[in-house]
Amino acid sequence: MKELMQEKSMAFRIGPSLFSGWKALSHIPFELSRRRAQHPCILHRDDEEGAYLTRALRSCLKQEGISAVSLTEAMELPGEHDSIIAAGRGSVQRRAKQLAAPEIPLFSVLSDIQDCREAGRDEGLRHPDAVFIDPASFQPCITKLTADSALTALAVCTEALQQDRIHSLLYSIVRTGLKFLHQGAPWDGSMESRLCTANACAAAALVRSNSPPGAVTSVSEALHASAFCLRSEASAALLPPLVQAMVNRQCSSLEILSREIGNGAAYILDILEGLRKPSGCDARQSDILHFAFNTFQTSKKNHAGQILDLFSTIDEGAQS
Amino acid sequence: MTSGEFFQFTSPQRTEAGLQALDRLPNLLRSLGLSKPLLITDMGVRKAGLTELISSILQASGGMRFADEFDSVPPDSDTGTIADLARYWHAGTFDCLLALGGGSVIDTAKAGNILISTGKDDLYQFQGYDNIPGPLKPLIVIPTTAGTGSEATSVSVIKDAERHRKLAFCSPWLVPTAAVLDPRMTMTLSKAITAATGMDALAHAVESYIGLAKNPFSDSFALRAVELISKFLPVSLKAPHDREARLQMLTASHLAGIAFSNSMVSLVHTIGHCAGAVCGIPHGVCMGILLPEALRFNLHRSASHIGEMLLPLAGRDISLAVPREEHPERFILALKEFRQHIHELSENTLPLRFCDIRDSMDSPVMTPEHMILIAREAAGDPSRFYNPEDISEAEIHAVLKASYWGYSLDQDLVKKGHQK
Ligand SMILES: [Fe+2]
Repeated sequence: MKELMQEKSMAFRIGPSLFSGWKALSHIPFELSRRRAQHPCILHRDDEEGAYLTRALRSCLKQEGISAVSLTEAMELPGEHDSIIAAGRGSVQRRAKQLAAPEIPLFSVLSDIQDCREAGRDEGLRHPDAVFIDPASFQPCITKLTADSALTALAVCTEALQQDRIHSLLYSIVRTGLKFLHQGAPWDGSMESRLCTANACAAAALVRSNSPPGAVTSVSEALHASAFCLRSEASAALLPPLVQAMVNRQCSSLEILSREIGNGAAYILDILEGLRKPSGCDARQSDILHFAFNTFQTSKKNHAGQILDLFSTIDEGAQS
Repeated sequence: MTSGEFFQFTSPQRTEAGLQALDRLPNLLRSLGLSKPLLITDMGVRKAGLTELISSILQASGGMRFADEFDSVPPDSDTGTIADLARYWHAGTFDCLLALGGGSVIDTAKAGNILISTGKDDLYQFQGYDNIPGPLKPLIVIPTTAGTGSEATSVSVIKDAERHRKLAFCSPWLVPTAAVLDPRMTMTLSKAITAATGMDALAHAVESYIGLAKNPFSDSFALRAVELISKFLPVSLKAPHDREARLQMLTASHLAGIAFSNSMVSLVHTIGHCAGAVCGIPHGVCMGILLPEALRFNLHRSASHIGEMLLPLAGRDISLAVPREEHPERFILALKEFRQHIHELSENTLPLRFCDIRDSMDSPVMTPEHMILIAREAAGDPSRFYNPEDISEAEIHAVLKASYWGYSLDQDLVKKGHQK
């Protein structure tokens, strides 16, 4: 029963309440009043996504007679507010986590475009108290960005399974994330598919809150930051060798997954295969491998072991 | 659940788990800015030396200690105990509650925290769903049984001393601030308690997975709990000092607690709570006895969900050998086989039928009159609304009677397939 052993000691926390599905936004007024908040400040991205989410948000607050100031993430918070609702992906959520005083309720309104950090604790910052995902507030479909988010979530969940002694609490969240991703097929831009992605990204953020990012996630983020490629392109290129390396060393967490769904590796690669086309990831795969290899093969900082492990698998694959 | 359907999932507490998890208690308290805990426990826990162990861990970490101890929680705590606890708190200076014990101690701490934090002395106004006005005082829970999962739930159930019934409180504010799962706390449990509390955890997981408020998150927690219980409850009984098995059972109970705190429990608990209140039968024992026939009652409504639990309970070989359409029935059979196995490993201390539970005069503890009363009470219990199928008083009586004698529920007695 080696595969069910746990770490000697572990700390785990989910944190936020998650409200997901049609009408999820309509729960916001009640959740504000439960926390005795009446004057929310909406912080939103200064783009089309932010505009969509904010419009939907304002209308549901208005129905309950709640008025809210709204600002873009670059602006200063007004003095008179007793709660913050951050709308949109990435930087706006991080900004809200930095700005919100500990005693002030912080809500996140998210769509299917996420970087898989929003719903969780982000590098030591607080987590939101509640996360709302409502397809009614999603902007018209941008399939490529949805697929980018889904691939990021896939990398986070897969990498958490690398731990041989994965804790059952963490495993349960990973399993939920992978299930949402699997349900998201065929990635046709339908609302159901996009909602699955949004839920999977939220699950991945909770995974990230409780488990350090692995090599693929870190490499993908570094390549993304260097503007070399999208996270999803890097994840799509690096996930197959990662999964292969997990199979080669008979990764026991992958075996747990396999007990539930047949073949854990095939399950993950299946999701990946479904995402390749909408994300448009295939074309530059060899470039990405090359770039990642050159950039990270000498890395001695983080993940050095994992990265070398990953690239030796890529290398073996290339030679065979 | 179909994609797009609304769901809500909450699990705010911190969890510290591990073979030596309690060693991290001092740091946990410090990180929460707490230094004056009021320990809430019972005499059994004290006699087992568990308070001493925690006291020494705190002492070793810069001389921390309990600010005071309230150790008079009875096995079946009631409104009187809650009032005593609140008075005790207000007479001292504390900054948090530290509950060390099983379900009764934890539920007492939770309900006591309502009076402590609101400053009120009447519990009745807070009963039911979401009637607690705001955040409560920090509550750290160290469970000493692996079954109730109460350290992870938004629920507290206590006895109403005046009206002789159960009072239930359900609010997200009731979820404890943190839980510490350390197998040193459960290693000395008797086989009878290990078995019964294990069946309670199994009932939480199973009922969560078939309940009307289930969601994809609670599902993953429930399925994992079923698998862990299937593997580690037998080990905990065969080798009570196996720390890994004890830790896995604490984890399973915690997972099942998170699951049912989100999806609620249904028929097994509806009847079980009333049977416990009327006849004084331990909660876990009621769960083990009622599970198979309560599931059979729901079979036509929840077949696919019941079938999906065959794999984690019975393993891959059985799951692959049985045609998929037979998985639901096979799960109920596997559940009975598992229960029989636990009964034997517990040296026959886990009763399999109500008729086998006898008092000191060798008379059945549950009489036919009791069954009528239990069915009536259960029919009025709000938890039945979470059951996949509507159930009448007569049908509850039928499930109870089948569980009393240990026969299979007559399918002609139950409804078939109308939409709820
Ligand atoms: Fe229970």
